[in-house]
Order: sequence, then structure tokens, then C-alpha cells
Amino acid sequence: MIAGVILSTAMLTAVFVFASSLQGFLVRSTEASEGDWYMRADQVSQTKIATMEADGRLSELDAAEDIGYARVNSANSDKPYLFVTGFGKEMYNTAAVNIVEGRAARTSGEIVIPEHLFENGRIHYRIGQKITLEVGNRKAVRKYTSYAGNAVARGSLLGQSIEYAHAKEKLTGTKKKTYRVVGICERLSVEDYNAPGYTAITVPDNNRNARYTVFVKTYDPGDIYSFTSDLVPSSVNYTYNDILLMYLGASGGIDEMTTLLVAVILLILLIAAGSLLLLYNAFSISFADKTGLFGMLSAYGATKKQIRTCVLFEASVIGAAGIPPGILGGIAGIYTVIKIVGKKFAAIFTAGSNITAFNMQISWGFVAAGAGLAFLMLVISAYLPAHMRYRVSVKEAMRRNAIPQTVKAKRLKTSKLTQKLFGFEGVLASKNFKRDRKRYRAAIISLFLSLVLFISANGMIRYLSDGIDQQYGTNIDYDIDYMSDVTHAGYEKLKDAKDVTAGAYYNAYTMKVKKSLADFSSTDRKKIESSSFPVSKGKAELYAGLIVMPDAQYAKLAQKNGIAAADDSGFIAARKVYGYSDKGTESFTADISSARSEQMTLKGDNGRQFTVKVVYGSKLPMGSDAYNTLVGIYTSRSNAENLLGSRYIKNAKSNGSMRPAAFFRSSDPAVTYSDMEKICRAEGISSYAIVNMQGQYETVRNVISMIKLLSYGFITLISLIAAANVFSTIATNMLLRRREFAMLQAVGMGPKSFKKMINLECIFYGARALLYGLPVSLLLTYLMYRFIGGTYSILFVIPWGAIAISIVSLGVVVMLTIWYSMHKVRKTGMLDLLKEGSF
Amino acid sequence: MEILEVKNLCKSYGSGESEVKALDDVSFTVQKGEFVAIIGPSGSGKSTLLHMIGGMDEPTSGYVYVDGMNLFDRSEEELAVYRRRQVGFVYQFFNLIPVLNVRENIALPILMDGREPDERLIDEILKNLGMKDREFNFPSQLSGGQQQRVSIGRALINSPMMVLADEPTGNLDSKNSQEIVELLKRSNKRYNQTLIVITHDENIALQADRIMSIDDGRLTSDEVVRR
Repeated sequence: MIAGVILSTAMLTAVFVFASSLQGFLVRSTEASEGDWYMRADQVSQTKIATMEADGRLSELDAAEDIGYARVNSANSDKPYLFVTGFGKEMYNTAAVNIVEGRAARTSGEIVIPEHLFENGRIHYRIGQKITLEVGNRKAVRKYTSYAGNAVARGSLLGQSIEYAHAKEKLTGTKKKTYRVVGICERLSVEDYNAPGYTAITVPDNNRNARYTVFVKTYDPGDIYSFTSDLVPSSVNYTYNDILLMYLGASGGIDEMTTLLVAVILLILLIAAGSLLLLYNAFSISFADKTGLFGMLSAYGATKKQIRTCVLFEASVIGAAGIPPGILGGIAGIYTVIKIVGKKFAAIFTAGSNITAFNMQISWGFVAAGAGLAFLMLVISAYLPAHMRYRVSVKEAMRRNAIPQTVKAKRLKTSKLTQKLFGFEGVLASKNFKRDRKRYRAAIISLFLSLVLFISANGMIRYLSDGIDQQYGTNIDYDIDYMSDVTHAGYEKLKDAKDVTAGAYYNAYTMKVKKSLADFSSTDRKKIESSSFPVSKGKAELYAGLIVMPDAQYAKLAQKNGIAAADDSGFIAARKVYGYSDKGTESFTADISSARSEQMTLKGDNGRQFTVKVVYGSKLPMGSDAYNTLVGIYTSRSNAENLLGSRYIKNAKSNGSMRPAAFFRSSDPAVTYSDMEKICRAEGISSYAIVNMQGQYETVRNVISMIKLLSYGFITLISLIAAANVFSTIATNMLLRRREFAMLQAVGMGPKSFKKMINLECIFYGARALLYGLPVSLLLTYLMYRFIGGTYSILFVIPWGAIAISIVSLGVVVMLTIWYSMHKVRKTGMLDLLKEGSF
Repeated sequence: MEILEVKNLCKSYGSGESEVKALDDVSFTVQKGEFVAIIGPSGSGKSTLLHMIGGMDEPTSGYVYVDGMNLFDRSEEELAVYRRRQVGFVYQFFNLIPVLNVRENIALPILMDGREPDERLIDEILKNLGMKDREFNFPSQLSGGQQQRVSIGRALINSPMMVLADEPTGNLDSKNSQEIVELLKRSNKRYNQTLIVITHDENIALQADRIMSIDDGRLTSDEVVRR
């Protein structure tokens, strides 16, 4: 029984501690990405700051001086300014500034430029460059309503939260200022997406008349709303740090925190219910032993209350013995889990380069809640059976005539079939099973739960990883790609990035090609016919990609494919094409030809047709995986120029039917990736299209392994409770029926029949759990398939493995229990029981 | 005709200093159709003796011959068959199977034997027991006396050659007690069954053919009361 208390306390504590650690992690990672503030107000005067500082609710106030706006030659017409702000040292933390290169500004002559000034605004400043800005204030030239619905008065000064109003505003009071760029930072998260200026950071000027952007924290996060309505004038624009407030539990509404809370509550309910059953069973045994005792006590005049006190005392003693080790065990368990998964978890859920550590965070209030809940369970489960015992009449208890067996004839009816199939032992087993239906129900429910959870989680994980494998391809032959407007010169520079081991650069022209269905093998023909490729007049229309590479590179490819110079037509085609079924739910590969070479007519832009002789090759160059849904035709730059002509090439470039792409292999994709970003910044190459495929694949893999770990961990816990429940239910029942067993022996039941009866009873029991559990888990697995299968093309598979594992482990648990309880039953000397007539 | 021979029967628990002798060199014989009462104080070894005769317990040494065959040469399975065909047990606590009704409880040894119970025979037994109107009741719906009648019915269903009763009336009032003893005696006479009864009740002991006293595991007296 103490083991049961330890187990359930440990699990409750674990859930509570995990929840509080998770919350702590979310708060810290949000602070790191969004900034450590609750409310931000724009354009606040120094006097107003002073009144805010005087308020008792305020715990921290940081202010950034709005130095002004400077018009820059931005490519984004809605974002024409550089917004120069003055940050003190503290502000860097408060606003979560992440400097990716260089350092913070130290003097009023230095400035930190945001990354997106280039990525979005196409303005390229290098570190060390001196820039001269005309810095002034934005002023509304007429009355209008801002995008967010705020009335803007004529002549009012405009801050970052009011979008660029084009003709309705102008820059006034400009002063010439010269700065040296000392650092580059990530786009500030406090900069709204419709902010009119790219935020650049210098140090405060300490201008007495300046306006400030104020970042406020209150002692109680919940107070921030009243603080704001009391102290922030209605004319001032303010924003709450909603995500942080949400994780702190200070904002209402349905959000992630609520989801987390619901999940935690569900978990706790599940565990509480499981442990209630477990402890209830344990107390049932203990009090069944004491039926006589309670009868005796009340016969000698003990009141109900005294007996209750006696029960509670027993519960308290057990609680005192079981709860503290349970708490320690739970904490130790979660500590280990977090140690193992914390890093991965943090890497997945923290955006950007600053990884917040996922540490164990113990909130003693939560631990106390867990322990309190465990004790409550204990008292309830002690009280219920004791109460039922008490209801047994005093006389009956004194006669020590066992538990009242209220047996209903109708319920105990057994079919003739049972008799035929399993013999008399089967009938007895089935009657026994039916008699204790209520008692068995609890254990069957918990078995059912762990069965369903295990099988469907198994299915989910499988579908997810299948889907991910398919999406990312387990064997793509490159680590990093850049499939956007990268020039050959840009590619050459990127190729110099750290740890790059190989690179490839292509210009890919998208065209169409018609293939006669007769060219396909019969199985592939069927796939094509039921695919998303249009088929008409016996021909399938496929997309083709004319993939152009430098001449030298092409020569190497031809050599690799063993194509002799005499056979080489200058065009090497991939034989396999990747396609999707009609509904897009399944994918396939098909061989487009079995010939060694053939004539192909490609249809390009404006209906231009090109006829080429292609030679099929099996060894394709790096990056070909990116083109596997096209009929890939690889050629050299000179061949392409001859075929297409310079006008076609020029056109294709401008209308987008030609897309350049670069592929890289790297010994350390993460290092290469960040080095490439740096090169992009230095060279003025846009870096947003660089994709670390390997990194993405790993991230997704990490997510899956996290899901795996967490769900299997949870399933293990639930199964542990279920196993303990089954164990205590069967064991209780066997022990309570010791005398019955002895009697059956006395009237001549042999050991074989006896074993048969008990085994059948347990089989009925396990069969019941399977009967309900299997269909439900299959249904859930199917739903999971529908859900995940919608995004990826995967096949529905019945998780036979998981089913087999659950049946086998069910069998093992049940068998072990029987073995244990029979051992116990034998040890107690059944003969004496027969004589004594008590339990 | 001699049906039962108990020879040098010993049963001890523990060893060395803590050895407890439940039975100490007990020997006697019983004739077919004899009604034997065994008396003695609590813990004297009466029940142990009865269980050995019923093949429920094994001796430390000694023999029990039933119908000339040693019980303890037999396997567990064979002993089970012996118990259900040749022996009927009656206990102070009736030990009925709670999930079976009166009829089924009585038919239990036959069912266990894998045979179809003879419904007429059960009806007759029910009539003899005065339980005809309760045949479909479950044990929990019966009084103590009624439960004991059912357990006697169960002991008699196979017309065993030996009925072993361990304080069959210990839990009943005097009226019920006498009725139970009458039932046992009637069967003893009618089927020429051997009846061995452990009792504390002098009235019952005096109705037996022979009274044995056991004290501290030893047979202290064995006298024939009537012949």
C-alpha cells in the first residue's frame, strides 16, 4: 500500500514540477525573445515617467529615448525611415536586443543597425561605415485615423506604433547627425510589423524635452492592466507583452497557457483517478481483514466517528510514510527527464540564436498541492471501503461472515456456450468475473486507458516520423540550399563559407514534356494514369526541368555516368520522376522510359518548343533531389545557350520560369549556415532564402524524439498505474476468496481444474480490456492517420507491433499477478481458513 | 468391514526447540457405517486429523489407508478425485460458493467431475434437507442453518463412503443443531456411510457409536458407546 502512495505522490509531484518548470522555461524564453517587460508606451514625457515611477505597483521602469526619424532610401515604401533610439545598458536586456555581429553602441556617435534594414529595406551598411542622417520628428500634417483606429490630430508627433501615413505626415526639425556603425542586431521584437522605421540603437542624448518609449513591469503581472489604465493617458499608444503575460498567467482568454493548464489538469485527473483506484483496492484488502475488528469495535460501543478517526489515523500514518519519498522520487524523476530532454526541448522551442536553458523549477506551492492531492486521495480511498465495511451490520461483522455478497441471479447467468467451451471451470470463472464487475471495472478502465494510449501514441509517432521522412527525405544529398535569386558570383562567395565541402550551382528552366503512356511499364502506367499529371490522347503531360550547370561541371557528370563523347548528346535525363496520386494523398516514383536515349520535345514559355536528344543517366548531380518532381534534364551552359538562345534566356530570367539555385554540402551545417549569413551581410546578398535542410530535418527529428520521449514516458507512468491497479485488483480478489478456494479443494477440485479456473478468470478479464481497447485504439490510430495523412502522403497501417506488445504485456501483468496471489494464497494455509471461517 | 486405517500418524510444524506436534503417533481403524465422534480441546489436533483423512493435508510420517489403499501414494489430481467421489466435507462455516445457487452448490462435486448432475437426485436431496423452496437462492440469501443444510447436501450428493464433519453445529442454535445431526445420522444409516464428526457438543458425541478423545496430538481414549 505504501508503494502505491509513493507511486501516486511521485507522479502527481512530477506532473506539477514539470508544469512549473515548463512555465518557467516559457517565461524565460519569452523574456529572451520578446523582452522582459509587461507594457510598453510610446512617446512618454519625462514628467509622466516621474508619476509612473511614484506608483506603488511599479517594480521596474526602463525608458528608451526617441532620438528621431531619418529618411533612408528604403525599398519598402511603407517603411521609409530609420528610427534612431537611445538605449541605456539596461534597455538592451529589457528589449531583448540580440546583436549578431559587432557590439553595442557606447557613445552618441555610434549606432547599431538592424538586420532587416538590408533584408527588407535593401539598404546595405557595413560595420565600421560612417553614415550621416537627417534626424527629426514625424508630424501629422492633417487629421486622420490610424490603421489601428486611433484618431491622429493635426500637428501631433507620431511614434513607432503609428504606421507610415505617406502624404499625411512629414519630417520636421531635422538635424544632421553622423554615426559609425558598430554592430548589427536582429530585428527588435518590440518593433511592430507596421512600424514606419527600422529601429537603430545608439545611446541616449539625455535631451530634456525628448519623448521616451517606456517599458514597464509591475510587481504583480496582473496589475499591469489597471496600472496602464490609471497612468497612461489615452492619447498615448501602448502595447502589452501579451505572450509573456499569458505565460505568467496574467491574461485571460483561451490561449496556450490555458491549453497547458487543461493538459496538466487532465493529466492530474488521470493520475488522481488511477491512484485513487489503486489505493482504494489496497484499503479494501486492509479493511476486509478488519471487518471483524470494526464490528467488534462498534459492538463494544465505538461510535461511527471513532471508527472514522481510527481510519483517518491509519491513512495519516501511511501518508507520512509514503508521501515524502513520493515527493522526492517525483522530483528526482522529473530532474532526470529534464536533464535528458531539456537541451533538445530548449533548442526546438527557442527562436533565434539565444537558447534559453530548460531547467527544473520547483514551485513549492505546486509540490504542496501535489502532496495535498495525494493525501486527499489517500483519505478518500481509506474512507470509502471503511464506510462500506461499517455498513455491514454489527451482527454480521461479529459473525465474521465475510463481506456481504449481494449476488444478483440475473447478472450471474452464464451461457451454455461458456460451459461447452471452457467446462465447469469456465462457468465458475465467468460467474466470479461477473460477480465482481464493479471491482474489475476500475482495473479494466485503467488497462483500457493504457492500451489505447500506447497503441494510438505509437501510431501517431509512426505517422509523424513517416511523414517527416517523406517531406525531408532521409537521403537528400545536400545540407544547405539556396533556391532563390542567387547569382553565380554570389554562389562563389557562399561556397567559401566555413566547413563547406561541396557546392553546385544551377539555372533551372521549367518546361513541359509529353510522354506517351506506352513508354511506361504497366505498373508505372497505372500510377501515372491515376496521378495528378494530366493525361490525354494516350499521353501524359509532365513538368520538365532543364537544369543548366557550368560546362566543366557537366563534363564531369557525363563522365560519371559513363557516357562516351560519341554518345553524348549534351543532355542527360533522370529516368525517375516523383509524382502524387489524384488526391495528393500518396506519392510514387515512376520510370519515364526504359530506353537508353530518346528524342524529347520540351514546351517552354510562349509555346516555344525545343527538341533535344537525351541520354538517360542514373548518377545525378548534387541537388537533383530538389528537382525530383520534374523530368530532370541536365545540361551545360553552352548547350543551353545554343538550344534556347539569348532572348529566351533573358525572358525566362525576368518572368521567373528560370530559377537559379545553389546547393552545398557541409561538415557542420549549423556553422556553415551562420557563416553564410555573415557573408550575406558583408556582401549585400539577401540571406532569407538560405535553408539549412539538415538543420531543419534535425529540428523536426528532435521534435519527434521529444514527442516520443514524453509520450512514452507518460504512457509508462499510466501503464505502471494500470499494472498496479490490475495487480491489486486481482490480488485483492484472490486473497478475499481464499476460503472459497480452500472449499473448492475440499469438495474435490484438483490443482489442474483450479489453475484452469483462475487462468480463465484472468483471460476473461484481459479479453474485456482488449475488447474495448483494441477497437478504440484502432479508431484513434485511423483518425491520427487521417489527420497527419492529410499533410503527408503516408499509408494507413494497423500497428500490429504495438498491438502485439500490449497483448503480451497485458498477459505478463495478469500472469505475474496470478502467480503472486496464488503464491500468497497458498502460503496462508487455507485449511485453517476453512475451519476458522474468517478471512 | 474395515474402511479406514490410520497408522502411526504424525504431523509436526517447525523444527528443533520450536517444534510443535499437532499429531503424535495416532493409530486407529474405523468400520464401514460406523459413526465416530472426535472430541478434545481446541488446538488438540482434531481438525488436522480430519484433513489428513480427507486427503487435504500431508503427514510428517505415518499412513492413512482408505479401503486398503494408502492416501499419500496418490497424486494431487488423484486426491482431488478421491475427495469429490468418496468423501464429503462439512464445516462449521458452511463455505458455500457465493456465486452459485443452492442447486448448483449441491451439484458442485458432480459438476467438478465433469458429469451431468442427476436432477431427480438433487430434488430428492433438497426434499430431504427441506430446502426445496429455496433451490434458486444464493448463499447470501440463506440463514446459517439453511446454509449448513446445503453444505450437507453437497457432502452427500455423490453418496460418498465417508462423511467428514468439522464441528458442523458449532455455529448453530440447539434446534438447528439437532436437525443437522439428524440429517447426518439418517444418511449414515440409509447408505451405510462412515461418519466422522468433530464436536464440542456432548449431546452429539453421545449419539455416536464410538467416541475418540484427542489431547495434545495424542489419542487419549477410544471407546465404543454402543454397537
